[in-house]
Amino acid sequence: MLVRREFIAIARNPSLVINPLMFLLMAVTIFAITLKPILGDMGRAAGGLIWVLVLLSSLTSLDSLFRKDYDNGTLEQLLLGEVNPFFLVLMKCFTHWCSSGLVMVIVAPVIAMSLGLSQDLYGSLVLCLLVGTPAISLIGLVGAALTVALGRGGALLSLLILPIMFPVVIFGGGSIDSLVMSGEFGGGLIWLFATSMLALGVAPIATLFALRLSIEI
Amino acid sequence: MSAKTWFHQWGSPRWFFEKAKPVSTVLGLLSLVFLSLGIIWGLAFAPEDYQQGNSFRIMYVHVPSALLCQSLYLFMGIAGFIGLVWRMKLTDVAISAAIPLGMMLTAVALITGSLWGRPTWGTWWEWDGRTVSTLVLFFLYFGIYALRQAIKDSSTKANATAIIAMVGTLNIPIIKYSVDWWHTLHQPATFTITEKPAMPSEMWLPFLVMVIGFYCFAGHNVISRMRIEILRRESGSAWVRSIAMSGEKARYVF
Repeated sequence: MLVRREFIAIARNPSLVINPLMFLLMAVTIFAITLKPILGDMGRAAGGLIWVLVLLSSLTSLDSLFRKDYDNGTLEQLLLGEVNPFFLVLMKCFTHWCSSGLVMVIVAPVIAMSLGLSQDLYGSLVLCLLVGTPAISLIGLVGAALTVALGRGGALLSLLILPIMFPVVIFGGGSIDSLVMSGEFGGGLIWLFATSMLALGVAPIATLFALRLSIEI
Repeated sequence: MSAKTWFHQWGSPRWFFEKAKPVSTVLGLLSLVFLSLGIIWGLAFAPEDYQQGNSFRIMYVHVPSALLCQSLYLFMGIAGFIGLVWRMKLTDVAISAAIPLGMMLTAVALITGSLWGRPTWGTWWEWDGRTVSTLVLFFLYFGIYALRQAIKDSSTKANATAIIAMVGTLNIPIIKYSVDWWHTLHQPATFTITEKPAMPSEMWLPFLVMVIGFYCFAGHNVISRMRIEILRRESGSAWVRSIAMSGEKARYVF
């Protein structure tokens, strides 16, 4: 039921999905124009660029993740209610991932094409993104929960969680680079998976702590 | 003294303020001795490196500060954990004292590394494994610093810091591994605890002295900052007031 509520909220306010997507497309355009000279090289730059872009556009939607529920008191009610708050956090993460990570995964081949990544690698790129984007949502959730009560997430949120997300981008971008160069993931995919799993273990607990802190119960 | 009493006294800022003073003084004197001994030994008496000449001597500052800035972050993570689990006020004082020193040492490690890189690698800045992980460590420090600036309420500030410090600490090994995996042209780590160092003892003994000196200095610095922070936070209490009113204020602090 709660999942349904989240999806209805997204459906009624499609800007939650469209804004990050438009941000992504604009950023791709800027990269494509400014980095034109190096893009030709077998699409080596494409993998890293896509990961950076996915990370940055996920950030744009993180700030609003708990904001509305916090402002109108829903968040407090939900945490005090009978639903297991742990489940609540996981659900929030899932819906955020659906509205940002999953969308990025779907449009990734198009972006990869425009940045000149070799066509054989689209499948691997999608696989990489599928494995790695949950970590971005999970880590982002902690930052969003910590900053929701401060009223000015934005830059602070990015400052807090970007350094923690470094490994995801490094493993993700590195995997694609390794694929372009040697045709193998080079261990990157496994480590990406491990990072996501660790995030799944730690982030929901930390988020729950942070939410309790933010609403002061 | 029972374990419980021992444990409980850590919850008392006043107890810490009084007991920590001699510790801080001793550590301060030790660091003075070790650092001056190590600097003179390392800069003037240690033999030249057969490849790098005299430029390797910056190692005596670079490596200890790089070691220490990681240790301090780990310290903050552990303090955050203790603070969250046992609700100890003192841990937040410790974290607030460790942040400025940690940030400064990370910056020192980056700057000296850059200065060292110029003569040995031929470039001021190289995106190699350990440089990147130290830079990320600096970002992690800055994130905590920025968060603390943004939160007004002191208990919220303490808990939020503790959460992010713990998450960051868990993340440090992954960052290190990911960056190493990604790329490394750095010389392999010069010192390990388990293996005998590859350089002659005339070179690494002053280094060891410097490391001990750095750690003593960090202990002294963090404890002194903690004591001052305690005075600031407890400024309304009777015992702090009595110190402020007494004629010999300096005696209590230094």
